[in-house]
Amino acid sequence: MIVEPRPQALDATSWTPRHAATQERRRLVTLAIAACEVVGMAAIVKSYLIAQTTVSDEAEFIWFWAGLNLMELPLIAVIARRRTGAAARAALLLIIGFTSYAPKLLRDPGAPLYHDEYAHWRATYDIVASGRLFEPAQIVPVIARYPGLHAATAAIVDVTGLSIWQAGTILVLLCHVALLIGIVTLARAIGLDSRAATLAAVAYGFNASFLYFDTQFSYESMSITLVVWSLAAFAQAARAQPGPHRRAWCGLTVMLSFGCATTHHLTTIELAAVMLIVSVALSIPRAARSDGWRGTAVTAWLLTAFTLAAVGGWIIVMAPATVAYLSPYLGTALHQLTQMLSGSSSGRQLFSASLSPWWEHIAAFGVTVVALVFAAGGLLVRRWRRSGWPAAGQERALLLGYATVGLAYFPSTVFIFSQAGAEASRRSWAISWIGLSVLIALPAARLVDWARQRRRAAARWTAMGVLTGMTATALVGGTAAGLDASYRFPGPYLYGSDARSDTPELNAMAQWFLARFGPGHRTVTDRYTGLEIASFGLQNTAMPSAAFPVWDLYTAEPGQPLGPPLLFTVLAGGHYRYLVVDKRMATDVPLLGIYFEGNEPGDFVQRGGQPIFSGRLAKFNGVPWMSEIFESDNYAVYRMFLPPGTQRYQVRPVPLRGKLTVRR
Amino acid sequence: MSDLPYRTYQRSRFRQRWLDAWPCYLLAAFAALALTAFVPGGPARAVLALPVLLGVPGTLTLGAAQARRSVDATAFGALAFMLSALWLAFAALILAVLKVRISGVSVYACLLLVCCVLTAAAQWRLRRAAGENAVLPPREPADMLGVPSETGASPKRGAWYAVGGTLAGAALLSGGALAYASAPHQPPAGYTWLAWSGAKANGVIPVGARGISLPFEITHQEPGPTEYRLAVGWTGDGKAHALAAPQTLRVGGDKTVRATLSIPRPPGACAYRVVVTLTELGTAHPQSWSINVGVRAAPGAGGPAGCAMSRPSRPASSRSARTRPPGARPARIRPAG
Repeated sequence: MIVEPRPQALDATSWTPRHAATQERRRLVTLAIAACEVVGMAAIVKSYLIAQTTVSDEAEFIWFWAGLNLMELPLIAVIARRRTGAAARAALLLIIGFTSYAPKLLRDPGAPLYHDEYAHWRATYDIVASGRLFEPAQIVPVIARYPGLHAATAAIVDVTGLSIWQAGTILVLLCHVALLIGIVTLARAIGLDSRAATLAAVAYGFNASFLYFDTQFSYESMSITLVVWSLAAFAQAARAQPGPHRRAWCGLTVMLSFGCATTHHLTTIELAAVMLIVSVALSIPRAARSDGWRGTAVTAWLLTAFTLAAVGGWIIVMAPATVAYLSPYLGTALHQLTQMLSGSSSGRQLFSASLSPWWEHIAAFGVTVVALVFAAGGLLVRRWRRSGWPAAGQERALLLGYATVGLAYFPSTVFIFSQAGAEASRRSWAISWIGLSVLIALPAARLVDWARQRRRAAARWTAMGVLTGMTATALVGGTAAGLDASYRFPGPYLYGSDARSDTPELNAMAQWFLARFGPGHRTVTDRYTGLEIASFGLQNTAMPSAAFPVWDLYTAEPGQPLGPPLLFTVLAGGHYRYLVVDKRMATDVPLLGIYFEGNEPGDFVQRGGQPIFSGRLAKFNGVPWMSEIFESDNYAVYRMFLPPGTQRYQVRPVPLRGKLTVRR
Repeated sequence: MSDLPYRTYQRSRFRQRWLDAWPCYLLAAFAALALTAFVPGGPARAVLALPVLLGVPGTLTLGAAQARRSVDATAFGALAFMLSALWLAFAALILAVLKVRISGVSVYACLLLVCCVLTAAAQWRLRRAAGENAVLPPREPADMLGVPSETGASPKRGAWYAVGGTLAGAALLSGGALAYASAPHQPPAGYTWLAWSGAKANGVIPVGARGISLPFEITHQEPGPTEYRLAVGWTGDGKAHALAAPQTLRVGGDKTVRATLSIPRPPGACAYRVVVTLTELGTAHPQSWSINVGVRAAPGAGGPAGCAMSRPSRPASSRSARTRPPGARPARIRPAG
């Protein structure tokens, strides 16, 4: 892997035992790294096999992190060496890109598992089946208006004959790898050398979304890569001399940012925000003044204006529902933060329902500290003024812009204490870490050099050990700050978890439903059953809300009226025919704390930890306008005859005899 | 005649031809994608088609934009992939605008047209660059971004490093996935279900003079056999009345048993709620499953005293929206909710 002049290039006289020893050492190092990769992958596989048998076991975390660290740390060490060549670094980064997809690939190798994956699978299925875009989407309605990922996946399915899941996995895997290469290209355009730029890509891999969230089959996974490449093209356009090269990169920026606007809403808005910040930086004379800086600033503003127009235009013309979809998150988050600051609310308790071990929690806090230390170091490397790097011009302006983006990470962590803001905050990190990773890479490269230059071996190894420890902390903590263990590891069924609710029984029920009644029936059910019913079951599930409170069907006590009347009007008008009940609702409290959606009333779990549905689900067997058509261990399917009629049932005992025939 | 050794001469000739006309070669490769239709759909076709589908449109875009030389080999490959993926999405958007059904053929045809345009643009740029100046303009961004003190492979070898990294990474990932797939896994939890399997009922089922047969099935999805008791009854007055003699049946592992309930025309015009119940035998906490359906005599038959005739449907606020068990006394009417 180490790139040096090859021995063949030397003549016979220059071939010395020293060269032979170097070659031998190089071969040994390469073999050792290869062994680390193989053993590391085996350890990850082992951790997943352990995880299958227990709800949560510390051993699965230990094996997992041992494996991932074993795979990544040696590669990072070689990347950080000054003598490693640029091409070798790129190759090593590619290996990191592929291997870092392993946790998600092993988590659900054969079918969707995360909440959004079901929705995107169904959206892609609808395109493949109907041959049309913008069909109404199930589970997450807004995704129908952002067809970038679905259309690309459907095209691959149509051309190659792969299954939707296979095609989607390949597409997301390649996006995941291209994301790291995009960070390198962006960092190099900002002015970092190949070592610092590759380290920036490595540092980006420590953000909370990298290992799991942005590797799921979801529109965000494709759009984050488009964002990074849009920014890389944008930076290249700013760096290029006016003329064909600048025009070329401007064209690519336009194409990539428009593609982003058709793929995902939030990341495109964030892309426009980053471009805005960078354009401002490119317009500050003190930072940007150099030959033709005004032209560069005008170019940057034009590209930013295009991106803003693209995202705004797409939302207004194609996806007006986006505003209603996104606004509650920000509004509620700000409201909750205000309440927290005023003392009227205690906020969210971090890791309260987490299945992960204590040291992961500490590492999750540690990653912010490590990032802060390195970011501060990056700002201190402003000694560039003395050394003349970067001189005023595009490089300095770009660095200023991205440093600003990166520093936004720290205030955004405050939102993690708000229930509504936590999600938005976590999602913003995938963007803010683009800037932060550039900022981190600057001191990281210098620290590695400093550590290697220590004359005393003890000091050298101590320094290297501290750096390795910080890297490992960032790797563990970054992921721990993202998703909970129930998403990351396989394991037994967990009621009320998005990623562990899929059982063979549920799958069989959904398939029975599809085979018996066909696709497209309007169905009322809870969140976790609905994922399977709406995806593989191909049914159209209800979207519960305050205006359509389907939970009232479940909460009504036996003998009490089902209602309110408006609910029946909506159910009958919407041609809802089926009700699917998970009987565990009566006994279990969901891991995520919600039965239907986040907007459901908060009193479904009563004080003693007893669900409100306890003793209230068997009533459906007695509802005259319902017929129970299926029952398995945990699920019951009812057919509803709406609007309810007034058919009277026989009261008196009368002679009625039938015959039961069993075909054995 | 050239003084170059034959092989070197051939290589340089091929290289020259490639540099002069690479967009046309790539277009030909994309056109040849149609041949993969003869390969069975699935992984085999994907191995042949994906490198072209996810590489050629993007590469041609970079050629048409004259950005081909601006990035190193790895970045070039990644950017070409992203642009190709975007073209797949854009092709679907173009087809949607033209109201053409999205299918393998239409996407391929649309992309072929796009590739033709991109090839023409890239070829025009190549000729223009060759015509304007025999000496290529200085290669800008990639070199511009390089730091002089850096060491590394030559740009030519950079591509091979990228290929090596990709293959090594893909091999590791595939190895991990294969190891995981071939490792012993926990057997999935078993289950049993009971379900109607006949025609779809749309309300209470009318029963004619010949009676009716209601088929249903029992699926036992567990490794070993289990014994069940199958009972059928109808509910009324809050009580269950037997409808047929119960049966005991033994269902083998992973088996489905089909059964039929035959009912004669019930007396009167009242509806009867027929309930089939399956109960596990031989366990301390036997589990049971049930399904039900409403039946009544087909219109025309008179009803016994104490049972009103069926009335037309009422709005949801009527008392039948309540969860009153069949046969129970009607509750006092009050507004729902």
